[in-house]
Amino acid sequence: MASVTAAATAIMLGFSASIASQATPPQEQFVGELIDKAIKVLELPVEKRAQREAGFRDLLNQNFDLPTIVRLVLGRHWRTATPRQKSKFAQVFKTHLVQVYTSQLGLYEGEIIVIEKSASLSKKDTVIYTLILQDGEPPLRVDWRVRETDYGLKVIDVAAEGVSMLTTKRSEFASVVAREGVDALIGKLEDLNVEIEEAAES
Amino acid sequence: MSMARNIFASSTSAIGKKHFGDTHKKGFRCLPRNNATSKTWFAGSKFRLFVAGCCIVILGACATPPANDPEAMAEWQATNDPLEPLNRGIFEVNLVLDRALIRPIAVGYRWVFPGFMRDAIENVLDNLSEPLNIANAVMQGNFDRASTATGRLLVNSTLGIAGLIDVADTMGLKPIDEDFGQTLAIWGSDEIAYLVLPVLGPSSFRDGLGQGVDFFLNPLNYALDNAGLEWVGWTMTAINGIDQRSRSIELLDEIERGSVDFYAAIRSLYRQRREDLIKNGNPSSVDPFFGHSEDFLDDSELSYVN
Repeated sequence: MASVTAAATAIMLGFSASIASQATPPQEQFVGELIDKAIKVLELPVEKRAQREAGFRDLLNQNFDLPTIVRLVLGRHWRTATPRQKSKFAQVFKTHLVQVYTSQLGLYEGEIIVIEKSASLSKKDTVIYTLILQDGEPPLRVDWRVRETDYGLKVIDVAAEGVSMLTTKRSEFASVVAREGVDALIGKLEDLNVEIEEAAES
Repeated sequence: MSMARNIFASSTSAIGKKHFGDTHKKGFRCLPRNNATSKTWFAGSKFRLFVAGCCIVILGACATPPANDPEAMAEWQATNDPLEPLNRGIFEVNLVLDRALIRPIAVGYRWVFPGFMRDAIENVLDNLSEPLNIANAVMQGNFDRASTATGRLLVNSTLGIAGLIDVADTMGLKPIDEDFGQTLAIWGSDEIAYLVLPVLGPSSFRDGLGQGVDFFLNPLNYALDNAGLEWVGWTMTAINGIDQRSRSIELLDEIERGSVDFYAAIRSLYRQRREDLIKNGNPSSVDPFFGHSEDFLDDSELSYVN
């Protein structure tokens, strides 16, 4: 019950913030709605892993610019990868993202998410700054990079306390590819996906 | 999730200051003796050779940025790790040590002490290092932050009962985190190269040097030294390290479990956290498109993904 109230508060805060500033950028509204949807998934009990996973997969597919993310995360090695490697990588990386989010984000514990402000970075990109507030914990800064695409607004990166998901994954993948090649990276990601799946089931 | 903020914030912990300070002091004391005997002179020249070797390795690596390819350039800059084989070795040893000793102690520490006690311990240690925040904020020319830190020191040392309670935070004086590594960055130094320190973990040449300087900047270290109470400093150092580790147990476990290259993931995390601390949380200037225009994708590439 407490978490429902907190979720309601979070939604209210989102709304009141949008009422206060007259011209709310659509990007802020988009992130606010995305957070509400994410909270719904996070409220599912951890034991219902399949449901949580499906929830995150839908969130990613609908709200993230996956083509851009997949391309960026492989960096310069995208250009030299074969078509087969590209499609295989895209597939295992998407599963990897879902797995990572499903296992790293725990149960929703009544955190309140406040949309602080947004800043336009370029013609297409805007960063939305949010704060996650929880009793007894220092506020956690989460920045969302949102892009205007042909298919509507999409997230291309999420950063916590200045640590970007895209940059971290990209750096990790570059290190593996530089030493062992794209196929080795795909293999490692496949193994990891199986590993996390098995660990979750046991 | 909220633990993300602790990602290697501990790099600024007192551990570094103490260790580095100690080595430096020994170095100074040994200097005259080194020149006296041929054996130690030889060791000295070997050391100098080693340093020269390192410099050549670093300069060598610096000499080959792939300037004609923006993406390769971005990758090269994001790595900046000429000592990678050595760093990976130290990283592995640190991991073994962490699993065998540091992590179990941190788990026990968290189990034994209730949260409010751990917070009080952290508050006291933070309060004792507030003079460093002040000194570094002043050196960075950031008088806003210097006065915040001064206010925090005054309020927390008195109303906060020797720092046990962070009263200043509730008064709007939010905690700040400055160190000499950040000061060097403001003065224009880049990190030179990534460096993994034994026990202490991720660092860089700049930040490692910064930790050493911070030890000498902290008046507390002189006071303890004069009173013959070095052990107090060591104990504080150890407690601080364990406290920091206890605040990132699950986070680090998850990062390790979810990464294909844990070493590279930590290197990137450390770097981004430091960048964020240097910029005091202001938006990073890092271009996520790595030199490309944002329209670089063409439809033929997108078709592989969907």
